[in-house]
Amino acid sequence: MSIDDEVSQLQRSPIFANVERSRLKLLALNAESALFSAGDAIIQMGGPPDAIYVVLTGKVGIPNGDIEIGHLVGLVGGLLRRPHAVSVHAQTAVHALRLPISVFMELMEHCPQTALAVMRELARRLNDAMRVALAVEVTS
Amino acid sequence: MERAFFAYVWQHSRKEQVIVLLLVALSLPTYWLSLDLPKQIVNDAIQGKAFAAGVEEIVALRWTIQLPAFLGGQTLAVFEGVTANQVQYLYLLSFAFLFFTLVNGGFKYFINIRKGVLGERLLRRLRFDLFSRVMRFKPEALRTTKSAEISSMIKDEVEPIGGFFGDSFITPVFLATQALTALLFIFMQDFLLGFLTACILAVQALIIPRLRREQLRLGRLRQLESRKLAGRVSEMVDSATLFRNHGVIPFYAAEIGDRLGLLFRIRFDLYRRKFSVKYLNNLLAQVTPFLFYTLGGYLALNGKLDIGQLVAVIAAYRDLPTPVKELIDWDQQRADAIVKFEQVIKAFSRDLLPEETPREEVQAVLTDGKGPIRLSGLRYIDRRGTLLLDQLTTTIDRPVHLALVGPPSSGSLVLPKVLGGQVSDFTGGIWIGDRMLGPLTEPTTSHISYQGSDPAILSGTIRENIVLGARRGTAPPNNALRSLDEHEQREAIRTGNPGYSAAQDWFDYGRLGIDGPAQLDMLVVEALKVVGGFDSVFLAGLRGPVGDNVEPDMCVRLVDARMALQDRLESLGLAPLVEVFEASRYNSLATIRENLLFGSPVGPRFSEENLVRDPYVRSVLSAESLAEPLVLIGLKIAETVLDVMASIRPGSALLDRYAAFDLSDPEALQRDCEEIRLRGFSAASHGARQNLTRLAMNYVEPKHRLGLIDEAFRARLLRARISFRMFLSTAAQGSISFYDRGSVIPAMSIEDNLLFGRIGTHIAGACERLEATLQTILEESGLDRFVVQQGLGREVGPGGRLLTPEQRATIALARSILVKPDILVLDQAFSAFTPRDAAQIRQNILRNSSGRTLIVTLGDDEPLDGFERALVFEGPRVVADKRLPETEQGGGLKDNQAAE
Repeated sequence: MSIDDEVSQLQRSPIFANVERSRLKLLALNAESALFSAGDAIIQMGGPPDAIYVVLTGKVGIPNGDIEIGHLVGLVGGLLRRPHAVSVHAQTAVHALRLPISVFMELMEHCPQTALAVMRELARRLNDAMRVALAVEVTS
Repeated sequence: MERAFFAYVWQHSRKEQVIVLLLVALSLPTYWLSLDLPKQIVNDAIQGKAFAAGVEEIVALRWTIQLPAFLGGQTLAVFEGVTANQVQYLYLLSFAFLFFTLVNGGFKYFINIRKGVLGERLLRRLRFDLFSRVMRFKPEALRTTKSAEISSMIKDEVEPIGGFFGDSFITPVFLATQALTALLFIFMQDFLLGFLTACILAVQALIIPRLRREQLRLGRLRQLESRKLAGRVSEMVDSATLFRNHGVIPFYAAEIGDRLGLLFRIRFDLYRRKFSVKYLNNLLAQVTPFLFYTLGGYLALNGKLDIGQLVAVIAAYRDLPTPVKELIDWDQQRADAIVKFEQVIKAFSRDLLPEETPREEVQAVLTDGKGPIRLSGLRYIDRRGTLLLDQLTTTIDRPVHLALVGPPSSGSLVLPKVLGGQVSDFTGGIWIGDRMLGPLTEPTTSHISYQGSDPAILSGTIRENIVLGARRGTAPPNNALRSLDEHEQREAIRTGNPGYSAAQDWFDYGRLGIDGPAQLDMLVVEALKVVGGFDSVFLAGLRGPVGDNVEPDMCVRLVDARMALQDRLESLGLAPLVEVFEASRYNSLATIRENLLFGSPVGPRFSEENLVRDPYVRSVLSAESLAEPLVLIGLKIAETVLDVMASIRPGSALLDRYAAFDLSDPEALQRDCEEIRLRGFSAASHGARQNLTRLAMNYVEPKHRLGLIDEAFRARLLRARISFRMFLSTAAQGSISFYDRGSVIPAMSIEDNLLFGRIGTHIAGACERLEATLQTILEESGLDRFVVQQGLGREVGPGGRLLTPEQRATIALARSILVKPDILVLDQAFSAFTPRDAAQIRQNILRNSSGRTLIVTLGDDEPLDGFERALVFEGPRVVADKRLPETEQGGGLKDNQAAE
């Protein structure tokens, strides 16, 4: 996949849909591509938060929620700079973009649009988590 | 000082000086004869005085000795002589003259040789003396010494003194006797001429040295200033990057400019003096012949002097100015050498040296390993008058693991320096067993090992640095390996140099508890493992170039391991992680340059920098019509990168992935791009095309993902690869080592040689999985030892500048661990490490040194695990002396491990 294809793929994702093409290109240019086979751990629980992965194709098993293109793996650990709290495995062959933490942080600084997209994603996850928590409360 | 100089020379070269003086004395009669014969030739043979009264034949070369009156006064003929007519007589005398001239030359030759040898011997002795002195300087003196000044003194400043050693006695005697002989000869021919000559000589001898006094003062000044210059330059070279960081190079450059200006002014004055003296000298030398021609000629015309005499006088005079001038020169050199000698000796004065302690005595006491260390009334005040250690009295029973705890600048950091011989101007006493050390004794033992925070690393390999302390303190006894032959040894001993060579095997295997050199590397590895430096050495070996001096059978093993690795990867299903180099395939994970060359460049010709400029490479590329596609690839890269570059600030971690491309001058790159776009490929300048081609050469499709390489391009590049190799001139074969499955590529690392391909880093976990397999293969093939050897063989650079501070500290610690010293003092030796690593290494060392004494400085907040005793300092005093629980159980290996 060339950079241009990767950018097009990212544009199809809900997270990055509203980000300008040139900003996405900056993201892709700074990432390495990473290929996982089915069953490979993308991040490992307790592992060091050295990079954030943006899924381009393939299925990733996450505790709850939908698997989407543009899903960010390792985001929470990376932002907090804490060992990962969960493991995430590739369920099919996965093609992702790997952004080392330092590069990711720089990107956030340089590019408010991308930062906003990431914030929106975090808010969505928080929202999901709260809804789950509420549901648990209601049922109990 | 003058006496000191001549005393030094006389003391160390008496015998040789006397021999040469005897040679000088022996040469005088022949010298006289060589002066006297021309007179006889002119007067007796040519003018025929001897044949005047119609004598046809005379007896020539008759040599008789007139016995003194008390022995009877007889005349004894030593040589009866030969009879000769006038022509024969002329020949006889002429050949005799030739003979004596030759003998005279011979004498000069021998005298000069002996003199030179004598001077060189003394110089060798002096240099060695000075060097030995520096090695014994007090630690305080060493800290304030500029090494460049010392080396400039030992190397350059003593050189002219050395030249003068041979001259110091011989030259004045030799020249003075020659001059006197010549003068006497002139006197004997004619008193008046002799008297005039003597007068002019007196003027030369009296006035010129006076004029030279100023010259000497300037010379001394020049010496001092040059030495300072050497010291400053070396200091500034060491700090060049510091100046660059602060942007203050112009200031320091100006200082050097000032110094050079001062030197220039001194030299300028010196030249003026020198040449005015020379002018006067020449003038006086020319006045004398003028007198001879006019006065001597007048006397000859009046018949008061015969022509033969005049010719002889002129001949004698021709010989006279040289010795006289040289004598004056000698006087100048004398003053010069004495000044230099004085200054050098002053710089190496005795105040800087501690008292000597016989080395054997100290070692004998220490080796039993048991005698306690007793400190009594130890007190140390630094140069600024701060009290750093006060009234410390305690007994440290050995063996012990002792922690010295305290905040920075407390006594806890001074005591180790005192024990480790890093300061010598303390008061109070240190006893080890019943032997007193210090305050001013020479720290001379390998049984106390001190390691501070700023380790000394010598240029050389890592191995050499680690085994440094494993050498003997005295000359190795093994005479079989003695590399000095008898002559060299005699020569060394007569000049006070060591009579043994550094090329012998100095390692003390017995003390290390091993049999021989083969096991030394093993000990080094063990020591490195204790201090946590093994992995970095292993990696250095693995990732460093294999190099050219690898034995052929090792090459075979490396190639075998390469095959084994490939088979293993195949069987493990890991083969897709590596794309192996194949002559007939484009390696998609390698750069375009690598794909073109299909080899590693050796030397500058095909280096990254020069490749696209090389005419041969350019012709190969255009022949396969690759020139334009490459420029277009470069253009695309440049456009992409420049586009995003505009929006990010410089120095950002973004675009690190494009570090392979030289983007240091974006504006120039922008111009190149515009030029190509506007004028098209064929009309664009060479510069623009080359710059873009250079960018393209580093392109790797899966890494940079710009989609620039298609099947057609690959095919063309493969053709270019073939023609590059095929048409490469024989001369250029040495500039590249081609990839070849069956042979080792010296410019590549061991790792790359084994992988023989590029890792698909984009496949998750590829590196880790390959590393594990590589490790197994290395172990199975026994190549891991070779890797370690290669790692240990890496150069550290002058002062270890090629290493990180951690690596330097690791090497220094391993050096101390290796020799298993009875007492190991670690004074902030872990400051280069992170606190976690430091704690880990400290525990390893504690475990490794059971049964031996370890004295370690600790910060206030660091745990005392593994120590048996702790002295807690506050300011200069000990406030607590803690015995830690382990002590009661002996504090051995087991207990420490239990505490882990």
